[in-house]
Amino acid sequence: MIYFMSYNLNLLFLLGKEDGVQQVFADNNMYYPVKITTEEHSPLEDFDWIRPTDFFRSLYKMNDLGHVLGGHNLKEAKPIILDFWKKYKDAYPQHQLWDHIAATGKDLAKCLPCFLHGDEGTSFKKGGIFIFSFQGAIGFGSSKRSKELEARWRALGEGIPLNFLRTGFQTRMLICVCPKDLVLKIPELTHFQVSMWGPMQEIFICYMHDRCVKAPSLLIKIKIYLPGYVFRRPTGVECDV
Amino acid sequence: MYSEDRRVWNATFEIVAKDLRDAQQNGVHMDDGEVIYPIVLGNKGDWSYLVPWFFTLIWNCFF
Repeated sequence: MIYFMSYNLNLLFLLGKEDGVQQVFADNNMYYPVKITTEEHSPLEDFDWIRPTDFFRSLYKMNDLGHVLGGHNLKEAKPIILDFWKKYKDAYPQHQLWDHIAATGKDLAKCLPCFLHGDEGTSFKKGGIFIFSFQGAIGFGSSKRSKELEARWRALGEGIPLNFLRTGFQTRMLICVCPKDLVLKIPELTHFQVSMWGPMQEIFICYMHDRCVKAPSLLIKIKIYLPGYVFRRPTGVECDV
Repeated sequence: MYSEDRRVWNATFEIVAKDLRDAQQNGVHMDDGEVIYPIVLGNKGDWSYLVPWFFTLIWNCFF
């Protein structure tokens, strides 16, 4: 689900004032340091997206891997990851992953289980927009009381934590966004920008280039910016942002 | 876009899958020498974005 910002803010973007907003974010060091890749080959020419590998590098560099490891860093999460894979192997003993692990000798504690998440939301003029992201399979849990109960009764530690205690802003990492249709329901509008508050941890901004009006087969240019203030926290502080 | 040109949809998944396959096989190498291996266990989400693919599959299977 995508929530639009206010009408006035959208109007502001339509008037081309987005550059100023971006500059304010940049001046205050509010962008999350993730490398954005631009595709060069058709049919995704000029398509901006974030490689999951680059996002993992940034998460590691910023000590934020807890967002995909249920709030733990890589060292703390080692027993949790090993326990996850033990249970997963019990559930899926024939999974091709085990052959791959056996053949390559990978350390399972360094293998981070994750899911891809595809979601189609509503964008400008009720047009569809596809949002692709990834998230950790190990979540923050489903109840705030579970940890207290676990500590007191040594119970409830048998399952794999679900991911209900944190919002999508904190647990889903953006890969790309893509409009479903050419958003040209206002023909006279040849260049506009839409800012959306997505179900992830960042605001992303789409530029619809005027060239798509002239050549609809060309891909609409999408620019992504990542204000990282949701992630921002002092090093060493708990992951409760 | 992807509803009008299926190549966009396919290519989007292709580049993401290729990157994640490389991450799973070769790992993500960090600056300090640490290596992690993201393992994708599945794709989740609502159905709507998969509907065109689903109908294509049904069409190819039964007609």
